[in-house]
Amino acid sequence: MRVVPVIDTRVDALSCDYPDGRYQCKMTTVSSGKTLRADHEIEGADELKKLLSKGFVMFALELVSTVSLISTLELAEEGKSTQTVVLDPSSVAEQGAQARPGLIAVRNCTLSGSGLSPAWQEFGGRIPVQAGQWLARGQHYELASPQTSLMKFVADKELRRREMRCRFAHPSYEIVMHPDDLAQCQQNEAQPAAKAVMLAAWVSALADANNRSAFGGHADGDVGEDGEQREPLGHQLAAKIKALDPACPTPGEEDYDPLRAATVLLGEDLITFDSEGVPP
Amino acid sequence: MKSKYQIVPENVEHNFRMWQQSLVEPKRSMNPAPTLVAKQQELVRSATSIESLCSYLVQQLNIKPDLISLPPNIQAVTSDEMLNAPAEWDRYVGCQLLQVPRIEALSSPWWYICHIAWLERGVFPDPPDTTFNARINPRILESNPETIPNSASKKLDDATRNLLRRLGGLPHIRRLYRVAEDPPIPRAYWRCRIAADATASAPANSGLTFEKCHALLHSGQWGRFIERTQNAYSSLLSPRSLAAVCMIADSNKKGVRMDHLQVIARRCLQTHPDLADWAYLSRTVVPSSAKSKQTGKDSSTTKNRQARRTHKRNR
Repeated sequence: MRVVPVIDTRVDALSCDYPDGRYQCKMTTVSSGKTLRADHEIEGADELKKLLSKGFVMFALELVSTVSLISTLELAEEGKSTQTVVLDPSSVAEQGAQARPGLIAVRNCTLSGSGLSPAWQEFGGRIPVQAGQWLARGQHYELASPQTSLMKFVADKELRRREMRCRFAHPSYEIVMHPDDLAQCQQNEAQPAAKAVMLAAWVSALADANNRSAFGGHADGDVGEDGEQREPLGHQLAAKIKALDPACPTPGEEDYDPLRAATVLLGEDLITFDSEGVPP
Repeated sequence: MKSKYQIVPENVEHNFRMWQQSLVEPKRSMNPAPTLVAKQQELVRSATSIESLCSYLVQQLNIKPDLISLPPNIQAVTSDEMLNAPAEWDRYVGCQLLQVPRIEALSSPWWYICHIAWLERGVFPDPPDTTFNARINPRILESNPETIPNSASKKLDDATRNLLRRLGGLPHIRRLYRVAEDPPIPRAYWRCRIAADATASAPANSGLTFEKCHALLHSGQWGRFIERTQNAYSSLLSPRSLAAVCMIADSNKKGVRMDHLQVIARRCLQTHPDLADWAYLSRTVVPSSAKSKQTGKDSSTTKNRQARRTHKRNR
C-alpha cells in the first residue's frame, strides 16, 4: 500500500506533508466521564476538506484500552466535525484507555497535490488513497487521569490524627489518613493546609516511585512460572510531568527531584482528594 | 450480568490488596521476615484441603456467602488439565465463561471469588495444592519461621506465588493484565474471548473459524502476544488485525510468530484495520528464505552484468 500525505500533530511526529495544514481535536468527557465529546478542526488543507464534504473521509476516534484489551473505531457522522461517543463502562472507561483522534479514509479515493509540500508535487497526478488510511492524526487523549489513578486517599481510623502514611498498592499509591483529617481536607481542598497535605502526599509517592523503579527501571525479581518479568509502571505520569514542564527531570533521570516533580503536578487543578481513584 | 463495581464490593477489593501485599513482597528477600514466612505457611497449609482453603480465603477477603453464589458454573476439571491446559480443555472451559463481561474478567478479586465458588462446588480435586502448583514438603510448612533455611523459604515463597497467580493473579507485583496470562481459567476465558471477537471480525469468505483462531492462540506464545499488544503494538488489539494475524499464521502452518505480529502492526501504522482491505491486511508474509532467494536471483543477474562488462573490457 502506498504511503499518503498525513497531517500529524502528535507530540513525537515529524509532519511536513502539508506546510500550512493544521489538525486538532479538542476532547472533553461529559456526564461524569460516561460520554466523550470530540471537536475536530482541520485548516489549511482544502483538498482534505473537499474529500470530507464528499464523504470519502471522516473524522474518527480510535478508542484503545491496553488494560481492557479492547480497540474500537468510532466514526463521526458524514461531514460532521463534532462527535460524541458513549463510553461503555464495561470496556474503555478504565485506567489505561486512550482516545486517538484523526481523519480517516472510509472509501478508496484520490488526493490532488495542491497544498502539499514540494516533495509530493513530484508525483504529478493524483495520489491514490485506500479505505482505512489515516490522513490526519491528533494527540492522544487519556480517558483516565494518570494523577488520580495513581493516587488514592484512604481513611484508616487506626492512625492518629495528623499521621499520614504512603503505601504502594498496585496500580496506585494509597495515602492513608485518619478519617477526620481526610474529611477536613476534602471539605477544604482550596485551603493551604489541604494543599500542604497534598504536596506531602505527592512528594512521598514520587520519592518512592523513584526507589521502586516503578517508572521503568530494573525488574524486581518476580518472575512468572514462564520466567517473564513484570513490566515497569508509571509511564503515563512521567509523560505528564514532561508535558507540563519539559525541563523537569522524571524518576530515574539525573537530578530528579520529587519535590520539583510534585510541584509541577500540583500546578494542574486535576488533583483532588479522591478516595475512589477515578477521573474527576 | 452486573458490572464489576456492583459485584466486587470495595471492602473486598481493599482486603484483597492488603492481604496480597502482606503475603508477597515486591522483591524477593533472601532472609524473609518470620512474620511473612508464618503468613505464607498459613496460606500454603490451607491449600492442603478444599475446606480449609475456602475458609481461609473467605475469612481473609471477608467475602459474604451471596457473592460466592454469583459466579457461573463450570464443569469439573482435573489437576493435569489445570497444569497443562490442553487446547480442547482450554476452549471448553473458556467457552463456558463467555458470558462474563470483559471488565469483570480483568478483576483479580472477581476471579478469586469464582475460584472459591468452584472449590465449594467441587470443580477442583481435593487436595487443591497440586491443582494450583503449590505442593511442597509438609516439613517446610511446620518449620519454625525464625529458623527456616533459605532454600525452604524460597520454596515456600514460590508455592505462595504459584497459588496466588493460579487463583486469579498477583496484580500488585505483576501488571493487572497478567490476569489474562497467569491463572489457567481466566487465561482460557481470554483466549476464547479474543478468538471469538477475531473470528467475528474476519470476512465470512476468509475461512477463519473460531476453532482455528483459538488453536493458533493456544499454540502460539499467548503471553508474548498479550505483552506485545500491551507494550508495543496496541493496533493488534483490534479484533480484525488479530484475525489477520491468525490468517497469516494459519497459512504458514507454524502458529503465531513474532514476525506475524510485527508485519500486521506495520500494516496498521498508517491504516486502521477495521476499514482496511482484507486482502491487503491478511496478505501472507513472504518468508525470509524466499526473500533471500529473490535477492539471490537479483545478485546473480548483477553478477552476469559484471561478467559481461569484464568480458567487454577484456575484448
